[in-house]
Amino acid sequence: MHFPPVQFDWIAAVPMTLLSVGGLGVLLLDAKGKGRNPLVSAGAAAAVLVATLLWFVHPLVPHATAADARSFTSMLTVDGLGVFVTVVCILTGLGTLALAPSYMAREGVKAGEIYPLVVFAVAGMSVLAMGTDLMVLFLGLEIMSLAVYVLAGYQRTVDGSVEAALKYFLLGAFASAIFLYGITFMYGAAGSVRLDLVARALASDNPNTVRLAQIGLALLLAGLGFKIAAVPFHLWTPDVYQGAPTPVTAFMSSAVKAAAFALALRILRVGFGAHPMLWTEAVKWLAIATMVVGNLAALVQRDLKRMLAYSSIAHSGYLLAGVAAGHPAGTSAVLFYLAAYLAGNLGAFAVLVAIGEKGDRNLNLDDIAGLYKTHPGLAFALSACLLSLAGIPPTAGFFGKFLVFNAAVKAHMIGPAVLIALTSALSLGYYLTVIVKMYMAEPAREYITEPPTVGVRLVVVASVASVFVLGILPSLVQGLAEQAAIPLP
Amino acid sequence: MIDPHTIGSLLCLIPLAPLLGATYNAFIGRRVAKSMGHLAVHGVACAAVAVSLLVSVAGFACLVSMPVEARELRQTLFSWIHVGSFDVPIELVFDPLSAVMCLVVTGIGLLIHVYSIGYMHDDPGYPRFFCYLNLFLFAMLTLVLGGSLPLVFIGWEGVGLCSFLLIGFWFAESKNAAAATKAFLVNRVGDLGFLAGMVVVFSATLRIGSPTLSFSVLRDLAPRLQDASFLGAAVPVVAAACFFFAATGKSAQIPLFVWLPDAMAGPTPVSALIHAATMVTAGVYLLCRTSFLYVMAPDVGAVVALVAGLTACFAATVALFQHDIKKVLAYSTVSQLGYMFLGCGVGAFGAGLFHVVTHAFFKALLFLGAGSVIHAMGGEQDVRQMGGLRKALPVTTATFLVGILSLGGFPLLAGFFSKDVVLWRVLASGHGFLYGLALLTSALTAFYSIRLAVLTFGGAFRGGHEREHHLHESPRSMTVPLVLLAVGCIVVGWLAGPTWLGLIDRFAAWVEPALAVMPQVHEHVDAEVEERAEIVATCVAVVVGLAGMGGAWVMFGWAPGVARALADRLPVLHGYLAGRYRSVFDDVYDRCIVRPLLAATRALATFDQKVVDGLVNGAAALIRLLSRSSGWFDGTLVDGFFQRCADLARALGRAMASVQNGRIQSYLMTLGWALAVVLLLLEFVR
Repeated sequence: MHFPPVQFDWIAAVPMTLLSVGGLGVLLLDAKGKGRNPLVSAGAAAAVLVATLLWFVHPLVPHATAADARSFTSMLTVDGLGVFVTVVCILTGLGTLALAPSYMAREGVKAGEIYPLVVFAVAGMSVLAMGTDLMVLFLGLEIMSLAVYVLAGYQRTVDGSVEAALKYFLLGAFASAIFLYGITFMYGAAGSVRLDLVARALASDNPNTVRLAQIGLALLLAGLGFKIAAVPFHLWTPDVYQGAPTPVTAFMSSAVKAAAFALALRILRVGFGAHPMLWTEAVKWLAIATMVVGNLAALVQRDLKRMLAYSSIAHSGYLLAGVAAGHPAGTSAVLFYLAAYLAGNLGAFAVLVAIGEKGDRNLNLDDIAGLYKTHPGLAFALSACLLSLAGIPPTAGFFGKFLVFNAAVKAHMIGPAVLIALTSALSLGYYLTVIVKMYMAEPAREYITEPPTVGVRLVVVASVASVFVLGILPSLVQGLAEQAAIPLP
Repeated sequence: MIDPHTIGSLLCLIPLAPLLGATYNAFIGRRVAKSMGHLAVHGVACAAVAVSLLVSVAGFACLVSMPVEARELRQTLFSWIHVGSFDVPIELVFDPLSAVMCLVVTGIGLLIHVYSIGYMHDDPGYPRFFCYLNLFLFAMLTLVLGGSLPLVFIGWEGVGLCSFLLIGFWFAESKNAAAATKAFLVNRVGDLGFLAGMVVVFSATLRIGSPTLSFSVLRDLAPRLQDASFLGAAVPVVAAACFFFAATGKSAQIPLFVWLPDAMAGPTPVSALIHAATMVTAGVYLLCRTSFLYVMAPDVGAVVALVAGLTACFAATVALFQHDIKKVLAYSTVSQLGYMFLGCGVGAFGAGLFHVVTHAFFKALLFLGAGSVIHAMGGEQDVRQMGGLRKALPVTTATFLVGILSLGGFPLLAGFFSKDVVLWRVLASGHGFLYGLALLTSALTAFYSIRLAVLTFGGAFRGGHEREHHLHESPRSMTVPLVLLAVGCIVVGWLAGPTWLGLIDRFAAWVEPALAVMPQVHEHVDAEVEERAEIVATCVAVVVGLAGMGGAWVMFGWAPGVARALADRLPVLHGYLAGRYRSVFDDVYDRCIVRPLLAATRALATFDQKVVDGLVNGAAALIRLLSRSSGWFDGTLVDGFFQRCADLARALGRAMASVQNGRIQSYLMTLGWALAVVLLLLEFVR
């Protein structure tokens, strides 16, 4: 066997190194302070994330992305897709860090490991976003997942949280196994786990290779489907999202989804970009099932957290439609959608953190009745975020949906395009119900909620601002998304 | 030495000072006046105008010190409209033309502000009045300083608005409100011409690749517009016609002059400022500003001259038979505006503009004098109730006489010089008919002006003893402006010092660089011959004018019975001339536009009531029937359908959600099935 000489290009490894080492630092800091001062830990973790973010805007990086920035013998690459998704994940991480202290204080959780865990999860996500080798990608998937398993079960003393973590862990382990099994098939088909080599092997059109790769792809898709909560792999989602601490749910539904979609785009575009007929149809049907089931199930929920969980499933459906719509319109639409979804989703969860009471009570549809009278600002923010999720102009969500719809029509996927519109209309059924309750119903009872902390306010304001800025000036992010999509094959 | 840059950057003060004054009196003045009295109102208003006047004078002095070809100050405040290569900045231009206008507007404006202090003293709307006056000056100064058509248009509309507000100042009387509305509507008709002209100019410049509405650029582009056509006619012709139509509205020419006589419903200082000295000359100013278009469209110029000549003559004949002192002056204004347009029409823009200046002096003087008379008479405006006022109102009488003689063209007074220049230029341009018309008009003008003076001040008082007791000279604030204006009437004419007296026409030399020159049609005539001809023409004009004055003196002063006898001899003709004649245009409009419009409205209303309502009522019954059945349909079938749909969606949702039984074994089982489904899916779609 011949090993090519290892090129150590440090540029590609800087983000994950920064995040991993920084995460360890935060862990040590927290241990030293015995978790008594959560704000210090949160601040340190945020500093690590901001430092990584700054590295991306450092003048070095454009050079790295312009040239062939692969390193570790093409196992990592700093390209537009990787950077875009990593930035989305880092921003979500920052939001989570801002929400966590007040939530944890309310729930009476003292331990401060949540902050380094968020950093570790983001490290895994950055590997997922920038990996170009199936083994590396698997590594990233596991780094991320392990951190998130722990995060989901963070409230050790609360049954729901523990149950959520256990379910997530068991099912996730299963899915990881299936994903790994898929990788073995790919290796069998291509003789390599590097995506570019997989693509080259597929280009030979050897029927045996294609056959093996196809089985491998099915297994990979199953694993992916689990992570992005696509129907029919979504069953864990509502239970886990409801049971996990609210800031963690926000993190999972925005960042984990973004990283998983980066993974999907990477595998499908780089590995199977030349053979779209192998997977387009399957992804399309997954998208259809996910849109329909997610929206229909969300319709009957009365708990806001669980409703947002189903809504998150539904949004995975729209994103999958974008993936199936192909390149480059679909790819850039998916990236824009991720950013738009982040804004609306994080804002909505931030409001839930602000109005929830200990044990996540007070998050029922009847509890928020008349919220407008007591908390006009929060009511407005939640309305803006939900309207964005529903895709009403002039919000970010509208442009996300519009771009995906447009890509679907361009790809002659009329069925999914029609379903995007229909299910969006359906989704108004549950989003508007919340807004109507807030603005038109009388308060059911007195609110005793304390005023939101600075961190929560910050997230709410930033989210609402982004929702409108992206809705009115979508070109700010659309251009970046298009640039990121172009280099993919 | 005045620094042009300093003055240039102060230009915006000229319009802005009155705007600030107006703002002050609109919001604060009334409240301050409660404690400090009227001074708080008129002090600020007059000071604002004084600032404008000072800056204008400084700008004028600055221009004088500059070389002739460079006489222009500019201030660009900011870019207003910017689309591609098309740019409309808010730009003020102070060149000899706008300098003349600014000086007249601010100078006479200041005098009229001062006069208003006395005239409006007891009016409850005192702050409002000064607010409107200042606002008017802001708009008027924007109009004359604007460097581009849109900016001029803002002023154009602004003065129209202020005119509306001031004519209807005493809006509680429906007659005044109606006059204001009439003025506004008629002006709006003219404004259409302005807008159309802008569109024509814009589209033409767009087609030649450099869209612009700025005067200086247009002036340079003008030769290239000559060949461009708009709807089959040359662009300069169409644009010039449009702008002249606009001018007939604002400057009260046939066919749109009908609003001006009614506009006398406003307070007299308003009549003096807006409806004699300044606003109504905006049309003349516009023609001078766009003179480069008119020299390229001589046919339009001929139309302008013809319309102006007819207007001048018609209005003068109407003025002969008016009994209301302000109405006489109003028709006289229409007539004199005709002289100005006559000058512009034959290409003598400088002469037209000079008549604007002299007319501003003597007509403002006459209106203010009339105001003083009305003040003394306790609101009476009918000259048949007056007479012999010379004893009680000596200052008013003396100054009014100066104004009257100036209007009538008495030699060596302002009006004489300017009218003489216009007449001469009409003759020199070879329009024999128009010259005859103008000469006739000048005889008529001399006649009605002396008639007015004699009826008002001559003879004995006809208004009864009660009134005679109350006659009094006006306060100082009113008489001082009168005296100043009278001095102006005597002096200002010499600016264009008649060349046949060996003097230089300073006014023409000053203003002509800013105007376009009509290309010479006739071969050049010998200068000496020309001068001799001019002297002859002047003599003819003097003789005609004096004859008119003498005739009026004979008929109304020396032998008052003559006029009466003449009227009795021709009762039908006199009845018509003194009655319906003045509203001949109003009658035509009434018959051709207003009444058909009202008739159509009424017909439509009837149609509405009888036919449409009938249909509606019938339809309503039908619809009630239909709606009852459709209500049943809706409630039972459609609502049912949607209710079922919603129920179905919920049921489906419940079914989907119920898969969520919380048991991890069943989740894993589903995962396995799902994997199988995906494998099969990939297998089948290949």
